[in-house]
Amino acid sequence: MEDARATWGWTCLERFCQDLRYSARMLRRNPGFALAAVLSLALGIGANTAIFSLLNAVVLRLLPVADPRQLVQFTNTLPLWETGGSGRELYSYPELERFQAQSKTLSGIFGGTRVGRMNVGFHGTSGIAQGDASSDNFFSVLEITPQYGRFFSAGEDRAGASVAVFRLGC
Amino acid sequence: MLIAGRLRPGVSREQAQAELDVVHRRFLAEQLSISELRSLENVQRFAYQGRLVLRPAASGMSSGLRDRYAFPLKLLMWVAGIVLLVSSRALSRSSGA
Repeated sequence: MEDARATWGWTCLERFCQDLRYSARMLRRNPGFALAAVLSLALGIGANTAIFSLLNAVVLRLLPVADPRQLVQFTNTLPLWETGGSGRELYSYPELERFQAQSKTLSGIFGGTRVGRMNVGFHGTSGIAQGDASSDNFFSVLEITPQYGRFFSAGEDRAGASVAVFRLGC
Repeated sequence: MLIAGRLRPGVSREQAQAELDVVHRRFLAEQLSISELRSLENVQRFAYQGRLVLRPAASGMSSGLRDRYAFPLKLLMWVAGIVLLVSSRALSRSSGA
């Protein structure tokens, strides 16, 4: 009878409950120790959570687009400059056009550059926004659909075209 | 400018890099042949030794931020984990005693 109880596994749970009751009793008897224990565990867990969320945001999280693992970034490496990712911006628009015309291994290639702060007027109010310029296929290669309105259509990255995309929120 | 692209299904990053590096080097050689600065040694080195490298961009375009902070953050994560481990071990010991 006793063996059967042991193999069915309830004794394990009972022992665990006993341990729990015992530890609660001991903690109540020694509140200073209990406080120190709770504090140090809380600090340790909190620090771990904070650092992990930072690591997740900076390093781990994938882009919220379709098949983000297919995306590649062009970098330009010189033997002299092989430290880190220098040479990211060493491409020109004519070279982008060349890549787009000749590549068979990529289904789409887009380019973009930071423009910086710009004045934006919208329905009578104005403000400052951080602006980027990009080629017309930026959103279609990333396979994103807009919340409102539309993204750039082909040819709208030429001089004279005036289409802008706004991001809502922060 | 920053350039990025999407691999066709079934194409590896190495295959795409091999193809695009050829395009890139041909482009640089053409530019060098018509450049007014083609006699400068730096310009020649840039044109002859520059290589195109494709980097995975699954977690976003690299602006240097990730390169700079990835290692320190991982290190910090390890340290924080070890501190938590050590403190819980110390706690369990002192409560047992």
